[in-house]
Amino acid sequence: MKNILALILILCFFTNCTKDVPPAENHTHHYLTYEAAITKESVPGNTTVFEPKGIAISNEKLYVTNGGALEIFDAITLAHIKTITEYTKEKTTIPFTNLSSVCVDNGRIYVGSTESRLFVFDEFTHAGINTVGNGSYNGTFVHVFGVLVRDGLVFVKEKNNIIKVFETSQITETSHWDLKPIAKLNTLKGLKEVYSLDIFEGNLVVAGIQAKSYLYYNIANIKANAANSLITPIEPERLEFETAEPISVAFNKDWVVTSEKFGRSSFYLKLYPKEEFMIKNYKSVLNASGIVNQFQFGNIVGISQLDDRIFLSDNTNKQVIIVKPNSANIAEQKN
Amino acid sequence: MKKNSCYILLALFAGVFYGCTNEEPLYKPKYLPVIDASVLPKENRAMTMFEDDEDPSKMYDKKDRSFRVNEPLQLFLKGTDSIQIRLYLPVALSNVKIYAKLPNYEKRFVIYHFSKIPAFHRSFHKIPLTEKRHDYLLETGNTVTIDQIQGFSSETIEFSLECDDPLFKKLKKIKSRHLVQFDDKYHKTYDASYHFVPMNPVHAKEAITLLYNYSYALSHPLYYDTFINFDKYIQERTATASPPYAGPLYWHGNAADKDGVYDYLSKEEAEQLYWKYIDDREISLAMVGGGNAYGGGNLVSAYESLYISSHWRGDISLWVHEYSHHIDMGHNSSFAVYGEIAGQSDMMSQFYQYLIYLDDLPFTNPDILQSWTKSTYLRSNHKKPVFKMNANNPFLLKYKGQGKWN
Repeated sequence: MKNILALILILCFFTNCTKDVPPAENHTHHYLTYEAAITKESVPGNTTVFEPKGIAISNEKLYVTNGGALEIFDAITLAHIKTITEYTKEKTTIPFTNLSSVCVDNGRIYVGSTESRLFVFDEFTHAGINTVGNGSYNGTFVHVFGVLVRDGLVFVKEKNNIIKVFETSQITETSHWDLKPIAKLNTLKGLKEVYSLDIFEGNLVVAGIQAKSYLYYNIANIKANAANSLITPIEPERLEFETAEPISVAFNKDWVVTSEKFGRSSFYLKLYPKEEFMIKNYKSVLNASGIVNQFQFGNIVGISQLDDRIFLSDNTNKQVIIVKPNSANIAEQKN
Repeated sequence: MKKNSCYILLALFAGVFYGCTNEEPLYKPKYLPVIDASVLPKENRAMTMFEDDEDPSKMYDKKDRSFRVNEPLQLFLKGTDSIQIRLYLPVALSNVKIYAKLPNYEKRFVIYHFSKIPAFHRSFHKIPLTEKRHDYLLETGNTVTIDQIQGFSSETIEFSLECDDPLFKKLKKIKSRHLVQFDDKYHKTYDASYHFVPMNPVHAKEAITLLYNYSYALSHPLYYDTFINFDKYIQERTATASPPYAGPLYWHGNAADKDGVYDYLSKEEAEQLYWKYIDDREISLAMVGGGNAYGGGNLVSAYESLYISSHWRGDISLWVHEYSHHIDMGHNSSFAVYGEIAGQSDMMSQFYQYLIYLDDLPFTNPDILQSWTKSTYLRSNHKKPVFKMNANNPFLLKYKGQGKWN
């Protein structure tokens, strides 16, 4: 018993007046730091301009659509690996022209051209698999301004207000160029801008620049109403902004990274919390018009990510800008 | 024994609770030291703007030198990790706190506390947030501890300031937002018949001092009241005139007056014009060395004597006249008419003198600059200005020492 009392006494001594500091109320400051940029000079022997549009990252390789070429870079070192200027399958070659968009999925590279064609080729050998569309806007596509491939589905944004949905299994070595879509989505408006699409938790999210809103389509709903949507394309859920025009959208493990245009030429990069973004509560945690002393952001038409680095395809600055989001803790003390 | 040990335990717990309710707050902040800007280390690149012998080309550099009459202390983000402070005042300010606010945290916190910032001081200061984790004092009196942040852009940090110096409080009351600059194009490009002459920092410091005083007078509630109720002012001033007063009865505009018919402004129009007087326009200051002074467009000009001496004596009718041209009012209007009771030049001069008399201007003591002693930098000799109140000043007669802006 004496021992217990002694223990209690010691315990009391430690608890008395060595009270922990009450926990602070924490907030977070988010900011971007500049990492690097890929420019015209990054492509050996390049004498023409560098005009990046759609970009994608897969297996630590960065794919950049650049007019009539698809440039491939090491996404870690940023070293240039290869320039692909044509689609080649056996004896068939089709030169690349006006590439707008790129997506890599399940061993295949999908490249969209505004000349109404989608090129599909092998991610590793770059050998042609097939093309969709024949290059005429009277054919399968009225131009191609955006492509996303995920979970067996191919989403292709045309010039008009339509996204055509295919199954990846429809595109084979022997499939016909004029594939019939399994579903159609209505983007409400459309024009000659590159479109950016991504998927989060069973929803397709599109940066609807002309519709001044992010466009949400539930994928289960697309599948359920596929047949009917070929007659009446499925309309998105959305909340229209007063001034902001969403240009691109990409989900990463922490955030939704977007670029938005305000007025004629003000461009902002934004980070939104994912869950809030999905319920259309657009309160960004970061809102940056550039990186001080480095860039004033221009028209960021594509966003891609590798680990904690964000790749921004800035068509105005003619560069792929690589930035890193950082955070600092703000602890409000209880004193 | 069991019972006893229970009591002992109870007593011990009581001790614990008693002991801890009397403690000091548990988080003990360590704030950054207070800065005296008059004794800064070399890396702050401190300097005094408008030194008497500074090359005048610097004061004429509009990118480097300009200020708003209601913002004497300027804060600029420089690069990603520093700010520059610039004080456009002829005297020092004491006890200035500069606050920062971050986008995702709604409370402001002190990043610099200056015990003193000297007259016309300029220096650079590293933003402590970019160095390492620090404690900062919140407006609420609490502490916030913020980790290192590697850099800022104009969107990611917002600066503001508080200062309990009585002079600063006075200047905060100025409603006008005029952007003041010095322009050398007048003496460099206008032909000699205009008599524009170059200014130097001695003139510039006086012009800046005058601008604060004049903007304060324009913002003064007593002036606003007199301006809007100018008919009443004229009535009171002319009640006992002999022969009876026959001039205009209210403000009138630019149209030519004919046979006593004036293009009177309505009170609404007068109100609009008042706000035009104190808007956020740009003012380009210049000096004339003879002939006429000029005002119009951005320009307001005056003689050396007005900058160095007259304004301290409250003789600013020429200044008011040129300033009225600057707000597009011509010689036919009561805003740029000379020597008339019912004119802006006379009324404002009388009012300005009354404010000097009340010691109700930001600056009433010419000793702060002592420009009349700086003959090397002056075109002619000037005596120390001595203010003398006119016993018949209409504001003195009416308000009898009352009306100070508190």
